[in-house]
Amino acid sequence: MDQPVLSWGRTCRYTHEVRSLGRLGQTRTALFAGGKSTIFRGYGRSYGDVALNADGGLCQTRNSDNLLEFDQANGCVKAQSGMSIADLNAITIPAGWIVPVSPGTQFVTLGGAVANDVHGKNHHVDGSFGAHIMALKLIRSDGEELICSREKNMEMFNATISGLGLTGYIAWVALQLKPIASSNMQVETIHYSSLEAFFEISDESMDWPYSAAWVDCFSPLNALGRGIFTRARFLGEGELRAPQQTARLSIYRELPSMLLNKYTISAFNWLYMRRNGAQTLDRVAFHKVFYPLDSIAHWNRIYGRAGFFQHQSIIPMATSAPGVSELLRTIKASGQGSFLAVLKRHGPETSPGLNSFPLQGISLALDFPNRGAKTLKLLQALDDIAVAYGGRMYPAKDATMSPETYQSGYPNWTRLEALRDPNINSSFWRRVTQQND
Amino acid sequence: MTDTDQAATKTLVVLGATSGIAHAYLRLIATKHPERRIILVARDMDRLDLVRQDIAARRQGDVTTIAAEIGKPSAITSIMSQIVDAVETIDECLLAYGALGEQTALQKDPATLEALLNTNFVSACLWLEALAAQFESQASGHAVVIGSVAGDRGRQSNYMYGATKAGLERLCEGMAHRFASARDIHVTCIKPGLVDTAMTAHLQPSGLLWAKPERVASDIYRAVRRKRVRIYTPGFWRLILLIVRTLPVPIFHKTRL
Repeated sequence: MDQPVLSWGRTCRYTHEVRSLGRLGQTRTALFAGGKSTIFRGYGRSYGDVALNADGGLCQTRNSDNLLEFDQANGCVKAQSGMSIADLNAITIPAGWIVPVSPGTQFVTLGGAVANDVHGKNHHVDGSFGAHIMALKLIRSDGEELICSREKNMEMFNATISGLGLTGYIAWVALQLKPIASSNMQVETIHYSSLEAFFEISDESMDWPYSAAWVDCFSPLNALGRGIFTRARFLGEGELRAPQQTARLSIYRELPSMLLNKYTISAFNWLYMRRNGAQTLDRVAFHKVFYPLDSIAHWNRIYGRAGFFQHQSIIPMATSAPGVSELLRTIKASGQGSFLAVLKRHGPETSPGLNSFPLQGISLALDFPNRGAKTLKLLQALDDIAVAYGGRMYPAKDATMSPETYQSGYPNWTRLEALRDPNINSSFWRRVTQQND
Repeated sequence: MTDTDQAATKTLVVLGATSGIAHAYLRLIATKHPERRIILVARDMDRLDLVRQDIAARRQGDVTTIAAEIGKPSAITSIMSQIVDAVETIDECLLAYGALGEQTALQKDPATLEALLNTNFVSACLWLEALAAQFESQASGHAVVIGSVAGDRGRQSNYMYGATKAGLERLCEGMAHRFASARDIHVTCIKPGLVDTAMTAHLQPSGLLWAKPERVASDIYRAVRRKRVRIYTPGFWRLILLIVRTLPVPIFHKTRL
């Protein structure tokens, strides 16, 4: 049935012919019904249009969430692609295993994690999600069913990881989990006063498996990049608990967009910077470290009716210092930005994904309330800076990049296009490859 | 995590294991009571096998499956003996299968109507009497039956379905009365409202009245532990149905409920 579907950033609202998979037994006709193209969608946490397919078919996968195998001795798990990271963690953590790589929300499906080859705070040691996939099953619209791994159907395996869901329906994913002795973490927070200091602390923190920094994007120019660095590691012993994380607060409807402006955000940042200085917390539940925003349901509504954009770019290590500096200067000069800005050092990419976002370097992510043309202009400027320094943008976060920006960052896109299922397409893909269908 | 409640049952038989509510209940049991013996019975072998795989992986233990025509009255005696052969005692049995039917088709086609009555009511009566006999011989057992709020008042939109569920509820009620003095034999009728499962997928589930099967499953879990005779799930349906039942006929007949 035709209905509008929104992106997480709430800037894309397109009409789709929406279908949902059931929990048991999907036929190929349910996956690829009708003559229109289809995109598969999980929890819809992509900020832009990678999981949208304007005027086409959209198949919701999250009911297809059965656990197929769980080897507790070795931490190997096989689950249908609609299972969320939250649900998988709830099953495996009591047995001492955790999903090896998780983005900033656990309300994403395994299929989405594969398709976007997501990364987490541990990228510098563990790589992205794709590095931990042992095998996956792909169902193509012509009825072909492929088991793909590093050994079998390798080309399709590599294209599917970071393949934005375009290579076929991902029926299940087999993962190697990460052992943990406790679900609690030791967490250190360190205030730092400049971009140079961020690089120094990042260097010192390489043996901390989880790290990222919150950045004050309205800092004075002489303290550009200042913020709070957080690093964490799992405790060596203790309880193994995956509490059902229920939102303590829900944003019931869109807030007035005037609420978030340069002045309120500067005030927030000023207060935030004045929290306790360097501190060590010895026992923090993992979900409070990994998923702080998951405690507020529908937090994307705080940006008001116009929604928001996210910029996430990554710049290779060699050019990262001047590149990130220029990004931050440009953001500051624009007077736009938000209180959610994150800097993260990434390690060498170990995922086989053909078009994965991460590379060894520094990524910057931040939200911009949608203020129309001036926001689009700023995003374009930031894209250009990232590209000029040899970087690229993250499709899962993007709603605006140009075909040139995308294609320069992902030279392997043509190989993905060649392997794309002819009956799958997305608004994102049409946009960055300039197709008109 | 596993609670040590003495009354926690040992063997769980689920009739209609591929139903959305049954599957959610099984996931809950797999987490809370991984030690239980589980027997799943359903008609469709492929779907049943997927439930088996999911539950077996979650509880880290085997699950027995029996693919059989559970809704066919003449088949019940032999399926029941298959189950008893497999487990000896049945501590808890969830009767979760049923069909929604399509009211206008049921009005027009006697064969469709007969099939619905057999599935939702006739076979269920036979199952419950077979279980009652088994429980009496064991001197224990708990039958948990999925009814529906639709059984509370006949409405033009689905009175055939409603009538089968109303009949089922009366049966549960009577059987609970029959076993009132038997300390360890219980009958519980679960009355869900609108639940977002495969059965209702064509109704476009969305809005405040719709519940997830997980919610219903946790209400069932609590009702079983408390040995309730009947529950509405989610609980607010109790109030809604109170209103629907007490509407005077002249007013009720003006609605298109």
